[in-house]
Amino acid sequence: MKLKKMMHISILSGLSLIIYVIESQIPPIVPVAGVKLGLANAVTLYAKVTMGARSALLVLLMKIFLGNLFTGTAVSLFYSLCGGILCFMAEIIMFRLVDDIKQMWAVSITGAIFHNIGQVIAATVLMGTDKIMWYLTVLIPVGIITGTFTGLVATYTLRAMTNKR
Amino acid sequence: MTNKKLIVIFTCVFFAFIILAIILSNIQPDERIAVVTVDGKVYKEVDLSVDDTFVVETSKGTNEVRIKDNAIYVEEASCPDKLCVRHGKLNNKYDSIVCLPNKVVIEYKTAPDIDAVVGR
Repeated sequence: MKLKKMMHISILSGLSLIIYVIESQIPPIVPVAGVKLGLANAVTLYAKVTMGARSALLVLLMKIFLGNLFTGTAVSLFYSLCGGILCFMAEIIMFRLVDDIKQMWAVSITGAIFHNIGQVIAATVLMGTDKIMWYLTVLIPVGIITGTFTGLVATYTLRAMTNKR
Repeated sequence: MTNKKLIVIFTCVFFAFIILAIILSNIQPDERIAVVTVDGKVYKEVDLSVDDTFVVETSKGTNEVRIKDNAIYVEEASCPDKLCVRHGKLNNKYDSIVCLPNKVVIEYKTAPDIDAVVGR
């Protein structure tokens, strides 16, 4: 039982790590730092639904630490941690507010918005300028679009996986 | 929460921020003086009415800044992502050109705020 869970966590960590690394190789479409799809979040959402919050947090932290080891720097680790943890907390709260698992897109959007807020806070602390807050007016609408997409990916993956069993 | 409620909430937030972004992007600064900061410290203050080219040298790399026709932009950068170059001109009061790898920020000079006055 415990071994099975551990295996699940490591498989999902690996999966989100692959998505994260591939995604970071795609050049940014718009000249605003921080705009990306965030597909790895779908894996975190999937882990939360199938295995609970604690395992999902493990998957997320594994992705952040190893992902930044492979692609980023010590500074980007701080950004990822700020965004990731705030995103995760918002998602856990949002999971309680929605009444059906099909509304996962709403959870995902909330997560995306708070991920952006977390990263802007990190940037404000690191750069010592609060003008970066201006980015939020762009990042939040974009986050709503990408968040919807990521949430739908998680919903359909979940549906496909549970039907097979 | 029902599906309908959630859709309404997120649509409202979406358009609220888009409108806010449009409003903010139309505000122009009172005076066209830009400040270049490196790692939170003021590196140089430049008047945008005078055409000029200079290189900002930091411990992490360099950014070549150009001032032309009352506008300031980064011409060339040593960082890998080149987001500061792709950002283009500084186009409104709240805009800032940021180079995260080199910790370089270019923005319009703002009037000293309450915090700065109290801090004196």
